[in-house]
Amino acid sequence: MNALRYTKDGVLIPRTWVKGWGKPVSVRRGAHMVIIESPERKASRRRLTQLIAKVRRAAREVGPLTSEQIAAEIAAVRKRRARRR
Amino acid sequence: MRVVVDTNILISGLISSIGPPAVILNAIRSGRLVAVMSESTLAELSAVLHRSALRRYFTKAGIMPTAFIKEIRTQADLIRPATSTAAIRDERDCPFLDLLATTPRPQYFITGDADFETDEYHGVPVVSAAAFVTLLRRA
Repeated sequence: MNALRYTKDGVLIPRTWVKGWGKPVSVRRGAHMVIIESPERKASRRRLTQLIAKVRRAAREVGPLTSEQIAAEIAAVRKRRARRR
Repeated sequence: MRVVVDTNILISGLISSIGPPAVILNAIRSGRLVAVMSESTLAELSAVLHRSALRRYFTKAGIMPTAFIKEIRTQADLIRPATSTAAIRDERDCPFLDLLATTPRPQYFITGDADFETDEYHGVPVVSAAAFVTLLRRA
């Protein structure tokens, strides 16, 4: 089987599509989609959620940058990269 | 949905839980959006997060910017980009144009950078974070 197949009971996904994910996979149904992913990717998603929450909390305490300040930081990085070329 | 997200949107979404950039980063985190990135755009994000103005947030949070980059790398669709021939005002924006020239094409390019002057590059629509969130809510 090389192509995705829809049946009335579910969706059959070719084995080659999920090669390297390991035997157990995580299935999650969201409001807009069903996500099938490796346990590693699921764990990464959880870690990313925690990291974002921590940084946002810190930014609330320290005070956020304006969009102009963010643009200036990015411009500085791009300028430095351009000089190196 | 595969999208290219400019560094300014990712940073804005990271440091604030309100506003369109936050909605976009939340959608990447949940898996609803897949950020199409290259080593070059990922390196840019990393370099900006390591600057003192941004690094102070990570220091306060007790984490390293590299931890965030590692998880973004896992969640992103990291591709080897094509070389774009499209004209752009600032050549330093080329790594993003290269992503847009790659097949399969990303569905949108989300940016707040006015240097991307046209409505689309390589057939990929250029949208603001606010406009994209409106599209996302309708989808």
